[in-house]
Order: sequence, then C-alpha cells, then structure tokens
Amino acid sequence: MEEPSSTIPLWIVLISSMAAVGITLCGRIPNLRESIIFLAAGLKLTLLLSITPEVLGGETFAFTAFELLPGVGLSFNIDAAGLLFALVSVSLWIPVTIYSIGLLRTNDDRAQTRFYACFAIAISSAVGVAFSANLLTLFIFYEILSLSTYPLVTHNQDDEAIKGGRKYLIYLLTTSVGLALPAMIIVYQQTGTLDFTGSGVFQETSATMLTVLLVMFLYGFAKAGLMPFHAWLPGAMVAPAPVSALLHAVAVVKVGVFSLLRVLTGIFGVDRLANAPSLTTIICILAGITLIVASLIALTQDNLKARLAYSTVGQLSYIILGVGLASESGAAGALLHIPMHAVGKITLFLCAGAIYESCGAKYISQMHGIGRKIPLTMTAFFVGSLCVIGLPPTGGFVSKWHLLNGALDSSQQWAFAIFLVSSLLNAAYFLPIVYKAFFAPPSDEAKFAKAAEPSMLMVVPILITATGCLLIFFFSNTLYRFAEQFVTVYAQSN
Amino acid sequence: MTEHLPILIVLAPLLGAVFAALTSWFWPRVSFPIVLFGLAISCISSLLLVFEVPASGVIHYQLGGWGKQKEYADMVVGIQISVDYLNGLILAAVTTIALLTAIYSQPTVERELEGQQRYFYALFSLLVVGLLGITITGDIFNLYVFMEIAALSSYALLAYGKKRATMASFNYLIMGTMGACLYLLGVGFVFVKAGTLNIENLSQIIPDSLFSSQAAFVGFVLIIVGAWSKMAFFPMHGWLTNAYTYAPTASGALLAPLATKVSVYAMLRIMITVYSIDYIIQSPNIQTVALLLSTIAILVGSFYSLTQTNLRKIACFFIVSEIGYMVGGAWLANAPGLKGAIYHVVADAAMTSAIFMVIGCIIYRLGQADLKKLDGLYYRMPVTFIALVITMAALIGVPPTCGFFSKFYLIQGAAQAGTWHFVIALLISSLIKATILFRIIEIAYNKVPNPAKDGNETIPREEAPLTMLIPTALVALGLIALGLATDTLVTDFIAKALPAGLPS
Repeated sequence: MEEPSSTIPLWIVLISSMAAVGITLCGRIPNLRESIIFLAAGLKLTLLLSITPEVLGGETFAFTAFELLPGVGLSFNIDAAGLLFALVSVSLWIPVTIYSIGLLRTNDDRAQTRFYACFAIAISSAVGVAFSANLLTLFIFYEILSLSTYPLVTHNQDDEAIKGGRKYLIYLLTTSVGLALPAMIIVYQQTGTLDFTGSGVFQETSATMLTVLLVMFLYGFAKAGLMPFHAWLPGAMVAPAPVSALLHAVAVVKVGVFSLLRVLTGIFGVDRLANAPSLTTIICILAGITLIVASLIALTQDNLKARLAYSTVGQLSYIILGVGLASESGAAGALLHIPMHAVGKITLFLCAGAIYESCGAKYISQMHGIGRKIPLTMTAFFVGSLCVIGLPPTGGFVSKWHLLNGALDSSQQWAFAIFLVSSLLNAAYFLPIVYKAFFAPPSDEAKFAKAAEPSMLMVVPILITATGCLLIFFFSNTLYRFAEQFVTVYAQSN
Repeated sequence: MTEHLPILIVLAPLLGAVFAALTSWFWPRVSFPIVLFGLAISCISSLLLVFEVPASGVIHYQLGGWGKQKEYADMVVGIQISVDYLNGLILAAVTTIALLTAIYSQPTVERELEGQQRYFYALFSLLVVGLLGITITGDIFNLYVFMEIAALSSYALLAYGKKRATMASFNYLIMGTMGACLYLLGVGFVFVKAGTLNIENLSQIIPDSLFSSQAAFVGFVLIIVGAWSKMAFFPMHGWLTNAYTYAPTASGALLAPLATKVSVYAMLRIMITVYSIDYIIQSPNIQTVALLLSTIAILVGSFYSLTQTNLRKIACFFIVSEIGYMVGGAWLANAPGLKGAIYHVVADAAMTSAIFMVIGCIIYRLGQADLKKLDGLYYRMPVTFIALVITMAALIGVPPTCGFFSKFYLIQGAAQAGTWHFVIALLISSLIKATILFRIIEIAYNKVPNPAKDGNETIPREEAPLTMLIPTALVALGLIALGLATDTLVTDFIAKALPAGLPS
C-alpha cells in the first residue's frame, strides 16, 4: 500500500547525528554537551512514540531522500518491526548515557567528547538500519555503524584495545565487503530491485543460487555473530562498560540480526521461506549449532565480560532461529526477543562495569561474596540473568514462550529441544555467579573491605534497566502488538 | 560566445602557458596568476558546456571553418573537436581538478623548487592543455599530438624532483615513447584502410566495411597496447611508481590523478566509438586476455601496496590496481561494466587527486610521509587526517562515497558476464585497502604522541597553509558528493554515452 511521503523518518534518523555535531562543538563545556545528548534522546523518543499509534494501526511512513542507483533510493519506511527496534535502541540510550557520565567523570577519562559523539552517530545508524526500506540503504547504515563504533571499541587506546579493535573491524568489514556486498549486487543484477517486500523479490532465480545467496547473507552480516564469525564479539569486550552494554548487547549485534530479519522476510520473502524447507533447514542448523556451542563456551569463561559476550552470541541465534522457523509465532518470538534480550543483557553489562568499578573484579572466581558489599548491583544482576534465561516474571519469558510455540508450529520441531537445552545452559552459567556472590564466603576479604556501591550515576541506570526487565513482562501485551502487526505479512502471504 | 566554448577549454590554458613562459623572463611573479586565470576560464567553460550536452546532444566545433564537405561525400574534413556525454564529464573533472591542484600547488612549489620554478607553471599549464586536447579532440591523429604534448611536459615536470626523479622520469620517457609509437603505428594502419582519421567518420566506416579486415585488427591491437602502456596497465606499469613517487608534490598531485585517467578515456573512445563494442564482442580472445590482465593488475597493485611504507608509493600502487578496475570494466563489454568503467574514470580521478593532495599536506608539514612515522598525525593535522580517512574509505568502497558505486557497477557487470575472477580481485583489493587504512589509523590516531617529552603542554596543531588545506578538503568532500550524485551522473550522462543495443 502506498502511503503519502513524510519526512519524519529522516528527521528521526538525523536527530542524533545533529546532536553529534552539537556535542563536538560544546566539547569544552561538559554540562552543556551532556544536556544536548539528553535533549536529542528525549526528542527522538517523543517523535518515535508520537507515530507509534499510527504504525500499530497498520500505517507505514515512507520517505525517499534521493535516488542512489536507478530504481534504488536512500529510502526509509517505518513499519512495526523497525519502530520497535528503534524504540529499544533510543530508550536504552538514556540510561546508558547517565551511566557513562558516572563512569567517565569518575575516572576523569580523556576524549569524552569523541566518545559521546561517536555514540550518537552509532545510534543514528542503528535507527537508520531499523527504518531502511531497501537493502542498499540498510547496507550503508550498517557500514557507518561499523566505522563509527571503532573509536568506541578502541577508546582506551592501549595495545589491548587496538588489538580488539583490529579484530572487530577485520571480522565486520571482511564479511560485509566480501560476502554481503556481492550477494546484494547479485540480487540487484538478478531482480533489478533491492526493496523489502513481504513476498520477496526473486522470480526466476534458481534454487542453487538462492542457497548460495542465503549463506552469503547469513555470514555476510557478521554482526549477528553466527559461528564461526563470532570471534569479534569477545574481542571487542576491551571497550568500556557502557560501550559493551549499548553496542554489543543492543545496537551493533541487534543491527546484525535485524538485517538478517529484513533480508529473510523482505528479500527472500516469508512465502518462499515457508515453502522451501531446504533453505529454512540451513538457517536452523547454523543457528542451532551456534546456540548450543556458544552456551557451552560461555560455561567455561571465567572473565565475566567474556561470558556475557558468548551468552550474547547464543541469544542472537535464538532470533535467527526464530525467523528461520518461518512460522508466525516464531517470527513474533524472534522480534520480541530483540527488546527482551536487549534489556536483560544491558543490565548485565552495566553490572559487570559496576562490579569492576567498585571491587576491581574482572573474573568470576574473584566475585565470591561481593553480593553483601554491593547488594543493589547484584540484585539487578540477578534480575537481568533471569531475563536472559527466560524465567518469569521477566520479559525474556514472553519471547521464549513465543519461540517455543513457533518451533512446534513449524516443520523444524527439533528446534524446541534446542531452545530448552540452551535455556538450561543459560541458567547454568548465570545462576552460580549470583549464588556465590551472595552465599559463598568472600574470596578476598581484604580487597573487598572497602568495596561499596559505585556512584549513584551508575547505580540508578542499572536499577532503571533492571526494573525494565520486570516491567516488560507485565506490559508484554503492548509489545506483542508490534509483533502482531509485523506478522501480518505472514497472514497475507498465506 | 557560447558556440566557442569548446575551443576555449583548450585555448585558455594554452595561452596561459605561453604568457606564463614569456612573463617568467621579466616578471616571474605574475606567471602563476596567469596560469590560474587560464585554468579558471577553462574550468568554467567546461562546466557550462557539460550542462549543454543534454540539451543539444553532441557538440561539434570545426576549426578553421572546415567540416562536412559535399565534394567528399559528406565526410568531415579538417580538425574537429567534439563534446558528448562521454568526454563532457571527463572534461569537467579534468579542468576542476587541474584548477584545484594549481591553487593547492603554490606553497609546495615555492618550498620545493626554490630558484628553479621559472618554467614550472608554463609546463603545468601545457600539460593540462595536452590532457584536455586528448579528451576533447574528434580525430585520432590529433589525439596522438596532444598525447605527446602531455607526455613531453610531464617528463619535464617529473624530472624537477630530487634524487632519483631524473632517472625515474627517464624510464617513463622510454615507456611513454614506446607507447606513443605503438599508438601512432596503429593509427597508420587505420588510416591506410579507412582513409580518414576523424572519429565521427571512422565510427561509420569501420563497422560498415572493416570488421573482417586484418589490418584494421592489427591497428586496433597496436592502439590499445599503446594506450595501455600510457596508462601503466599491467605488465607495463613499472615506470609509474618511481616516476610519481620522486616527483615534486605539485607534479605528482597533477599527473597522478589525470594522466592515467585520460589514457583510459582514449582507450574507451577507441573501443566504444571508433571500433564499437560489437567489435570487442567479436574478438573474444583479446577480451579474455584483457580481463585476465586486469585481474592481475588489481592483485599486483594491491599486494605491492601492502609491502610499502612510503605513503606516496602506496598511492602509486593503488593507481596500478585502479587502472585494472577501469580496463576490466571496459572489456566486460556489457552495460553495467562500461558504466562502472566510465564512472570510475571520474571517481578515481577525484580519489587519486585527494590522496596525493593529502600526502602533499603531510609532506609539507612533516617533511616525509612514511607510514611508520605518522604517530599522532590526527592530533597535529586533524583536517588532513579526516580527509585521508574519507579518501581511503572511497578507495575501499565504503558507501556513500563514489568508490562504492563504481565497485557496485563493476561487480554487477562482472557477475553478469560470469567473470568471477574479476569479482574476487575487486573484493580482495578492497580488503587490502581496508587493511592499509587501519594500519594508518592505528599509527596516526591511536598512538598518541607524548607532548610532555617535547616540553609542550599540548600537541601543537599545525595544518598545512589554507591554500593547500581548502582544495584538499574540497576534493575529499567531493568524493561523498560524487557518490550522492551517482544516480544523476549515471542516468543523465553515462548511460547515454553507451552505444545502443549493449547486453544490458
């Protein structure tokens, strides 16, 4: 359906980029600089919320800035899935900024202006990916995101950071330039279009070519962390805590899975997926292996951030697997898992940063007994891990519920078992941390003697996101309306 | 007045060169402004003209009032210059870059060529005349004459440098002369068979009656090989790196982006207009060879660039690989491939110009451009550094810079033709350039110099003078602007420059 053109998508994308300019100009006045961030985030959130009722009513907002190639423009189109992803990224930007202010000011970190400016650009590009109406636009924002997050990953600028940053870019650029770009060009050459449509763009492409393209896309968007192209995620953990939190639990990795969601539903088309078990089997097997293997590796990690990183790798595959099931409830579960996992994982990452700030502990074996020193942080950690494991009363329960339903509805019923085993593994690598933090004797009494909760600027955001984990369980019906709107393409195509 | 615009494009810098040479005897200060004025007129004329092309189609200009003669069966007689969709764009690119480079060059010339700058600007202007002549002429012999004008002035411009420059320029002279000889020999073959040198006439005679002629085929091969050695196409690329590396900054910044690209244009003109694409499709052997050589050129250029630490040498090897892009795209002989090749002529002219200008700025301040000695470049020269990053992004092909779109079309064309080795070479080349970019970033940005060691509170900011910095920044921003204007360029110009009936 053709909607009247509206510039709202462009403005929403651009607000944080414009904020980046403001942040750079006000670099010498920290208070003003950080007010600009909150102003931009507030404005962006207000605009997003203001169009929510229309989008949930089935309207879409389309806008083409200009043509880039014949037939393919820099085009935006806001639908329910894009809006939900944008809402998640922008609303979590606010607590993370508060947390960053707390962390960076306490440590009197240098290059804070660059940090906030790159952060704002990253948010812009994540929202750009969410709103892209075609694959070329999506690819452009995908690449801008890779480049703008590089300075964040290497923020500390020591050897370790440079090494992690190198790995980060090598993985992301090699795969996107080497696989996703040629795949996109082949799609354009075969079909003459790159627009996302529910019915897919392929008409006469051979089955072999489709399989090749599918694999190229699955590995090409390496931000989705499908094994064996996942190693950048643990490598990028050298970044400061807020960067890991927002980018590697929310924006960057979710951009990867969101790109796959768009390619699978919009380029291949839900119809084709539902009728091509050979394609969905490939997706499900690759995602299933990643899911289990990543959870097993996570069990062996002693570095808390590395454990969280491998947990992320696994959780991303939940979303890919959910889309690959090609059933309505599978897709709904996959879409809902984006916000649910985002809130849970961001809480965990922020807690990891807070634990390091207050107790200097990086490794799980050093964290025995710290629960009594920093009860607020560790309680939040507990809530966050419940959310990622998928236990009530947290949001993760809702998305996993739909994913399990989706597995039963589809032709790939073995996925049901994969989901269950993985959830058990999630519990196995998270709950012992919480248990030992509260009930085990302290591992280093002297060191923790002076340990206390970090500054309020860090604790409050953690509490906000932890509360979020609980709230989205009770208001999951509202979120489900986005998923409902999104899966109408499945109903239409049947 | 506007009907004389075509000749003004060439005439203005030619007069500029003559007056600059004359005034350098008694009033040397004024030769630079004269040249600048000539280039500015040329630039304005070409920009005005390029917008007239869509309105009036091909614009022909007859020198001396000759033209189509009734008594010679309506053939074009005499010298003709013509502007169409293909060379209109390239003229605009050449004149704009020449003007910006002239503005840019002055501080470096004053420093590097102190005491011997007398004829520099006359030669500078003369070189531009040669390049513009090659692009605008409608006659394949005239093209040879302008090729020699450009070549002779460039030997002199390159030899101005220090140390190994003379030897490097001499190597170039030998290769360049050989290329020119081959080209001239080929033109001889064509003239014997066709009886005319005019491109418009040839484009009718050759497809009509000479497709099966052995002599015309030999002529074609000689002309193409001649053009290849002029553009430093593999395996005739050996002269380029040293010649451009040891040249004075200003000569390098002018020659590197323009000279090779104009030779590519000459090849495209012979392929598309004179012999027609059908001729290429009918000679699959030479097409296969050209495509294989392009793949090798891309790989050789890219891998050699990895082994270098001198930024200018790295940039020179980039040129070698980029030439492979364009030749390969042209020889794919389908619509997306040719679109990519033509688009890349303009895009690569801008990219090479940008990278040589950036390197010039670095050399001006730091005295060298060794990759390993760039620590803290970002803190000392932030604008230059950002321009370098944008340029490298364009060379890699990061959207929305122009490099992305040329690669898009080239890969599309290669996929359509099934030439997968060319696709793989393009992707490998992108990744190698990305590696070099991150090597630069790691050294220039992540290694923070320690200011306390030098006794300063902060790292001093010392950008190059504004007359150098502004053209550099303009060209770097132009890379993004070109990318955003892709649709206009391709639909309004490049697609119309292609012959009808191509395999689309």
